[in-house]
Amino acid sequence: MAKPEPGGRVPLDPVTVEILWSRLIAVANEQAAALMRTSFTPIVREVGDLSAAVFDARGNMLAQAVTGTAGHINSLATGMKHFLRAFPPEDLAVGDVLITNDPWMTSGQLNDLSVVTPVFRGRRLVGFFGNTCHAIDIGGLGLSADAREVFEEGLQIPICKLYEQGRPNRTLFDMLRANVRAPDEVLGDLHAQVAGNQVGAEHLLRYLDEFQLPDLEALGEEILGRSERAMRQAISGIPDGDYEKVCYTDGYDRPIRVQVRLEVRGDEITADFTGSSSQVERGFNVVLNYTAAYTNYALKCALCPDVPHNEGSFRPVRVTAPEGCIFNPRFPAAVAGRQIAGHFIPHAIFGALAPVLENRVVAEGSGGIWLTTVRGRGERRFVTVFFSAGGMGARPTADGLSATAFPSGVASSPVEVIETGSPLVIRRKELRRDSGGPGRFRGGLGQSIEVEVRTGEPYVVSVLSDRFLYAAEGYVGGRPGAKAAFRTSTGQRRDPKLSLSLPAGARFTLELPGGGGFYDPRQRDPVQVAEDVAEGLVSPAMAVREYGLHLDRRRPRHRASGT
Amino acid sequence: MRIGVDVGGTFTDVVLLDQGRVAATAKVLTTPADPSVAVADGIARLLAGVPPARVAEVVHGTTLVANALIERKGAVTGLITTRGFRDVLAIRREHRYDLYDLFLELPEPLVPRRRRWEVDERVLADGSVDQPLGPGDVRRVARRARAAGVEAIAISFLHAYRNPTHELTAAAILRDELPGVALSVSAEVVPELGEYVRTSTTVANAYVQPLIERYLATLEARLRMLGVRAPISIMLSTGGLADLEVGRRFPIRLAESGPAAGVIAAAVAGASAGLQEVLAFDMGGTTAKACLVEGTPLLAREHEVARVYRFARESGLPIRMPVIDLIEIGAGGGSIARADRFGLPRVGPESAGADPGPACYARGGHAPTVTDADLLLGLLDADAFLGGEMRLDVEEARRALAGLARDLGLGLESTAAGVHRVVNESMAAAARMHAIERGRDLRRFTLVATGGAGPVHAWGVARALGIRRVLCPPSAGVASAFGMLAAAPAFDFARSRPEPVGQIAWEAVLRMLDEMRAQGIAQLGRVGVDADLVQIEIAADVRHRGQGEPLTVVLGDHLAPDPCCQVEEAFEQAYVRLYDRRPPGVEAEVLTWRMRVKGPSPAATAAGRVVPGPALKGRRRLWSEDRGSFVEAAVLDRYRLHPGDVVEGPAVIEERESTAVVGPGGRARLDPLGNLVVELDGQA
Repeated sequence: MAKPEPGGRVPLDPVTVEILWSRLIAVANEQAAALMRTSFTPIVREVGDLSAAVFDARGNMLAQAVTGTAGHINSLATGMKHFLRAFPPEDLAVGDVLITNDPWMTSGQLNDLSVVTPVFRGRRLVGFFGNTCHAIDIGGLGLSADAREVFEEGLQIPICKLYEQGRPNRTLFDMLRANVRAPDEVLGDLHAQVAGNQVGAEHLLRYLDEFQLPDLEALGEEILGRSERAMRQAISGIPDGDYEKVCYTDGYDRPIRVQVRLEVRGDEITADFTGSSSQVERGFNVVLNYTAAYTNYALKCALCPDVPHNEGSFRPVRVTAPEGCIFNPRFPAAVAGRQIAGHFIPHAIFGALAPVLENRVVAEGSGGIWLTTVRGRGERRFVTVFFSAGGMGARPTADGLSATAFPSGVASSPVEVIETGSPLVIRRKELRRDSGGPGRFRGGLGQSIEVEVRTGEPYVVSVLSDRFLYAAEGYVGGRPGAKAAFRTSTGQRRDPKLSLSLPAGARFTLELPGGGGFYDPRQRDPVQVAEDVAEGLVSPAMAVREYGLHLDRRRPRHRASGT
Repeated sequence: MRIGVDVGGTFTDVVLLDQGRVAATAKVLTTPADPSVAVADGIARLLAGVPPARVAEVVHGTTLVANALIERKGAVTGLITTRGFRDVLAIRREHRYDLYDLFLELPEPLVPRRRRWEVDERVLADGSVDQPLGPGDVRRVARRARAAGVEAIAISFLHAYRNPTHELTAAAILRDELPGVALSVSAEVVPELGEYVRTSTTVANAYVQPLIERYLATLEARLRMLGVRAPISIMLSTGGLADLEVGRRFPIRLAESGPAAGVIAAAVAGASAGLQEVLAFDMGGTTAKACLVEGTPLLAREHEVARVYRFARESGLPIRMPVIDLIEIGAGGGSIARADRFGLPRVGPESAGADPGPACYARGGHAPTVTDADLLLGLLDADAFLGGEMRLDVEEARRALAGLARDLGLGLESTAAGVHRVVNESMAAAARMHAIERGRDLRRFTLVATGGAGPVHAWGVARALGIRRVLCPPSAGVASAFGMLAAAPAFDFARSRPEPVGQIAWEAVLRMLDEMRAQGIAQLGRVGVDADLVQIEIAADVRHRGQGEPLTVVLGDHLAPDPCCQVEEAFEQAYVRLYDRRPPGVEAEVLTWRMRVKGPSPAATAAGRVVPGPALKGRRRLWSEDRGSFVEAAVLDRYRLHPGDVVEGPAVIEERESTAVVGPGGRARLDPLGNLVVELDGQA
C-alpha cells in the first residue's frame, strides 16, 4: 500500500490514476453522448457540435469529451475562468447553475450555450461539470455572415445564474423563450444540458466515494502533470525556431489574409497571428478562443493525437493575435460565420510546420465545409439546407481523401433524404476529374453537384463556400488542387456567398475544390498514375502534363530523376 | 435429433441435440479452402453409430460471408447506377470517422470505378418516374460487363425502395444478356432510404453471392453423401433461422451469423433462469463482445463489415440489415499490456492472439498479456488450462510482466492486478456507453459470461458496472453451435416509405404489410413452421419531421383502426423511455415500415450430466480486487457440482474451457439447468 506523503496526502499509484482518469473522460463522454442523442439541433445530433467537461474546484479542466468538432477545444476551459471570475466560490451554492453564450468568453458564436454546474460534497465545492451545446436558434440573423455587429446576431446572455439554489431564473427563461424562433426546442435542449451536468455531478460524487478520494486535487495534479509532460515532450521534437505561413481565403468582398508565426522554444510554442487581416464588418470574425481551438487542434493532429484535452495539455501552447485582428476581433464585431476563416487555421499551422515536420502534416484542402441553402415557394414555402465537402489535401504517405470534410467533422445528407420533403432534384453528384492537386501523393478530388428545383417558380440560392480565388496549395513540390466554381444554367458564374435569385427551371452546379498534392508529381509511381487514368480520376492529358506519364509505354522518363 | 454447426475462423463446432438435450459435441479445425469439409467431418463424428435418417434438421452458421469481405475474396463485381451517381460508394458520407487522425484510411469500395456503370433513368422521391429506363443503355452496360468478366452485378438506382420497376426491368434484361451472372437488386436486398448505405449493402451482397452459392451447394451435397437428408437451415445476423434459399439470395444477411448464435445462447441461458434483462458478455482471445438482451437480443438497423481499423466505428463498409446489436472491444486474454506515454498502464487492442499467444503459452510470445496477469493472480491454474491439455508457464508470465512492472514502478503482483483491473474497466466503459446510447441502465442487468476469458473476468466487469449477478451457462465452449439449436425461425422485412404521419396513405401501407406477412408465412413454412404458429411484429422507423436518426417503434401484430394515433402514441412512449424527455410539438414522420415474422423456439438445454465424485479439488491463492490482497480460495470442478449446490466465495470453479471466479463475500449456486449463478453480494 502507498504511504502517505508529508502533508498527509496518499500518492496515487499508476493503476489507480489510469482507472480514475479513464472514468473521468468516460463520464464526460457519456454526458456528451446523452446530449448528442437527444438534441433537437441537427448539427449537434449528427456531428457532435457540443462539448462536456469536468473541472476541479479551482476551475482547471481535467477532462473533456471527445466530440465531433474542433471548435470546442479549450473553449470551456477558458470559459470556466470567466465563470469563476463572475461567481467566485463564495458566491456559489448547492443547486446553482450558471450560463452564458458570450462569444468572446466561450466558443465564438451566440448559438453556443455554455452551462456550468458547481459540484458540492456536503457543503464543500469539489469541482464543476460543464457543457456547451449548439442551440438551434438564438434569435437575430442567426448563422449567416450578414450581420455587421454581434447585436444583430441574436440574444446575448451574460454570465448569470440559470438556477439559484435549485430555483429556475424565471426572468431569464422567459427572455429566452421570447427571443428565439423555436422556443420548445431551444428550452428542451437547455433543460437537457442542465440535466446532463446534474448526472455528471452525481457520477463524480459516486466516484469520489468509490475510490475514497476527499476531492479531485491529487488526481488533478497527476492528470495535468502527466498531460503537460507528454505535450512538452512532443513539442521538444520540433527544432527551435520561428515558422511562418501566410494563406488566403476568398472572404466576402475582399480576401482574408491568414498569417501565423509559430515560435518554438524548447518545449513551448507560441502561435502568433499578427499580420492577419484586420477584423471585418461582416460575421467572419474569429474570437481568440476559437482561434486557439483550431490552433490546438492542428498541433494535436500533427504532434500527439493521443494526448487528451485538459488544462495541462494547453499550458505549453500560447495563442496570440493583436486586438482588432480578424483572429481576435473587438466587441461588438459580428462573429456568426467564424468557421469560414477559422477553418483555414489548421492549413496555416500545417504550412508553417511543413518545412520541419513534413511527415506529420497534410497539404491544404478545400477549407471549410460548404453549406448550400435553397429557398423559395412552390406549393408552399420551403428552405432546404445541405452540406458538402471538397477534397482533402494529400498526406506525405498517401493520397488525400476525396469529397471529405476537413477540418470540419460534418457529414453530408444522402441525396434521397434531401429530395424527400423538398422540391430539389439532384441531377448529378460525382467526383470532379483532375481536381486533385498533382503530387507523388495526389490531393483528394472535389465533387460536382448539379441541382434542379422543381417548383416551377423562381428561387434563391446561397452557398457558404470558398476557394474560388485561392486554390489549395500542395506541399514540398506538390501542385495545387482545382479551384472552386459555381455556375447556373442561365450562364451566371460567380461566388455564390451572397444570395442569388434564379428563374424558374434554372439549374445550378457546384464544383467543389480539390486538395493540394504532396511531393513532386513526377515522383508518383507510374502504375498509380495509370490506375488513376483507368479509373477516370485523372485525364490522360493531365497524366502527361503533370505526371510525365508516357502513353507510348516506354519507360517513364521521371524514373530517371529518382524519388 | 437436430445438429448445430458453427463454422468459426479457427474451429468448426458441432453439437448434437437429442430430445432437447445436448447429446454430443465435436470441435474440428476449420478447412478454409472448402469449409464444408470440416462441417461434414464434424457431423460424421457425431453420427458414429446413429442412423443419419434420425437427424431432423441441420442448423448452420458461418463466418464465410464476413471473411470473404474482410479478405476481399468475393466475386468480380459490377455496379449499375442512375446516371450521375456512380461515385456514391466513393463519396460516402463525406466525413472522417476520426477527427484527429490525419492519416486515416477509408475502406476501398468493393467495385472499382471502372466497373461502375451508369444508365439513363430517374425515379423521384415520391416514386414517380421522371425519366424512363432506356433498355438500350442496359444492354450496352451488359456488353461492357461481359467484357470486364464480371461474375456478379449489383443494381442500385435512386429511390428504388419507393418504385422498383426500373431496377427489376434492368435485372430482367441482364438475366437474359448475362446468364450465370449473380444479380443483386437494391429494391429486393434492402428497400430502404439512403443511397450510399443501400448501394453499399447491395454491392456487398452481390460480391459474396457466387461464393456462398457454391459453398451451400457443396455443403448440401456432402451432407447427402453422409446420408443426412434433413433440411438445412441457416442462422441470420439477427439470430433468426431461415432456409438455404434466403442464404443464396441474401447472403449479406449472414454476415454476423456466428456472433448472433453466441448471443442467442446467452439469451436462452438468461431466459431459462427467468431473467428478462441480460448483458451477454463474451470474452475470447483477442476481443470481447457485449449485447443487451431484453427477452430477445436488441437489434440494430445497420452494422459494418471489414473495418479498416477493427474497433473504429465507421471505418468499415456499412451494411443496412437488421443485426443483433453487438459491440466489439479490443480486449481479450491475448491483449497486450504496456505503459503508455503518460507512464500509465494500457491494455489492448494489440493482441498476441493465439499465435504466439500469451507469454505463459511458452510458444515464443514475450509480451505481457491479460492471460499472463490472470495466471499470476491465481485466477487461472497452470495445470488445469483447457482441462489440463495445455500447461501454462508461470515463469514466462512473470518474466513478461516484470518489464511492465519496472515501467510502472510497481511490484509484480500489483502490476498483474493492475492489468486485470484496467482491462475490466475498459470493457465495462464500452458496455456502459453502449447501454447509455440505448437509454438503458446496466445496474439492473445480469451479466451472462461466455468465452474462455468471460467467466474469469465477469466478477470484475460486473463490479465495475454495478451489476450484482453473473450467470455462467454450461458448455460455454460450443455456445454458438448450441445457440443455433435454441434459435427460432425468423425473418425481418423492411421497406422505406417516408411520409408524415398525418399524410400516410394507409391503404397502401396495409397492402405492403399484407404482402410482407404473406411472404413471411410462406418463407417460415419452408422451414416447417405452421402458419398458425407464426408471430407477427410490426414496427416503424419514426422521427420528428426532418430530424436525424429515427426510432424503431414497435406496433404489435396489426395496425389499429386508427393507425395514425397508434403510431404517434407508440412514438411518444418510445421517445420518453429512451430520452427521458418529452418530444417537442413537431410532426412525426414514418421513414420505414418493418415486419418481423417468427416461429416458435425449439426446446434446447445445454446442461450436461453430473460427473460423480467430490467437487472440491483443492485450494489456492487468489487475488481479490475487493480486498486488494491475495485470499485463500476453494478450487472446484464444475462438472461435479449438482444442481442446487452452493459455493461460498472466495472460490474458483473450473471447467474445460474456462474458470468462473467468485470473490470474497460472493456466492455461487448451480441452477437446475446447469447455469452457474454468481451473486456478488452473497444472497444466492
